[in-house]
Amino acid sequence: MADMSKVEETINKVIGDIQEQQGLRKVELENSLEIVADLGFKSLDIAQLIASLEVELGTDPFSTGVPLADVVNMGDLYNLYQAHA
Amino acid sequence: MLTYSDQLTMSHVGLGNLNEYALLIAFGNAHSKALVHGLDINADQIVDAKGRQLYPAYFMTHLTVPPHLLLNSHTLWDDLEVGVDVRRFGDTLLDSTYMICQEGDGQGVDQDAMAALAGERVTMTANSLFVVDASVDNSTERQIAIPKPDCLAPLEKMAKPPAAIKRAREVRMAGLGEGETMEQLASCAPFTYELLPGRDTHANHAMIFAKFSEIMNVAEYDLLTRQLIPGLSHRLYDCLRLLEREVYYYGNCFGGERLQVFLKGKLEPCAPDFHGKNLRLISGGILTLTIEIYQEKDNTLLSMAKVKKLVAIPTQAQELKSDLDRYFHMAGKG
Repeated sequence: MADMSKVEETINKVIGDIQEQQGLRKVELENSLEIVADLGFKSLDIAQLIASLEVELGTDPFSTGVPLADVVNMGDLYNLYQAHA
Repeated sequence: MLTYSDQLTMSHVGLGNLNEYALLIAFGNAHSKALVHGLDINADQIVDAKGRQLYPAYFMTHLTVPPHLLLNSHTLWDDLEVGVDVRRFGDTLLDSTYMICQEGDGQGVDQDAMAALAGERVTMTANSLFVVDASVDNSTERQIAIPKPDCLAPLEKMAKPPAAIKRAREVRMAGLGEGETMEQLASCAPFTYELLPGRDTHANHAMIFAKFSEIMNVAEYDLLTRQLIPGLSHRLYDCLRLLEREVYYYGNCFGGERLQVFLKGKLEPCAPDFHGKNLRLISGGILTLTIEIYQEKDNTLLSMAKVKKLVAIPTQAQELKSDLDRYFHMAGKG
């Protein structure tokens, strides 16, 4: 398993980049924050997030059949990529 | 890259020549074929892990037509070569490039031609996203979706996100005028377009992307021939030929809904040989418009676009050039 903090750090960086590019409000990221409701990510942002994480972390859990609907908040996202790292 | 021959039939162009809508549909077909190329399925069999049918929804298209090769130079029953190159960024984002040429012109539409002849050929770049129309609280909501790996042809992967993602946000914030003075032509009231089920949309389906351009053309006609005083004559309007249309799609619509279209822009003189050496045409001017489409019911932005068209006057109708020059004189452009 990869270092949790490294995975989290990468996810947080990618999310920060998308927030900056799309002009979204930046908030301190924590497990309970919901990606759609709290971060304001739309379909295009989520698509970019998944693709960028594949580039940065070298893994794509969703290509193995994990439903997108299973990932609601930041904690889900951290745990999913940690498990597939 | 996928290439194939396609004949312009009456299914494409009716009894006329190639037009923007027919070309966009042809490119849409090419895109669909490329997504399942080499697989034993059709594009409507692309599904996600839950078995839901997915489709790629465009969020940007940019069509470019060289002035010496206007769309209407491709006529009914012409044989065309169509090429499409689709790459993906992650599971759901697609980046595509399209090209057509007359079959047998000796240059083809291979990968090298895509790069080398981009300004010399009819081309389009586009970006799309796999989505599913999901039922949520008794309404239909478009959601991002991931295709099952065995439902998609192997596509080259991109290392960086498509530039159109950033550009779409910039355009939404700042518009497509890009500092140009675009107030010479402006609609005094929005053009209202009602989507007729069966004509503009099909049951349970959002409007196809190509229809946005068609609606923009209808609104453009209204602006130039009815709102402009005096308006362009219908014969002069018929001389308008597409050079470029860049469209960003922020939402979609369904049958029975009403849209409001806002336009502003300018019409400026150009060199008489802007189109090249074809003696049967005289280039009269360049029309540039920025266009925004909104839902009438709640003012939701659906699309923003910029279009450039050439006023290509047939040499045998040169009196229309005088009409156009009179317009420039009135507008202080002559």
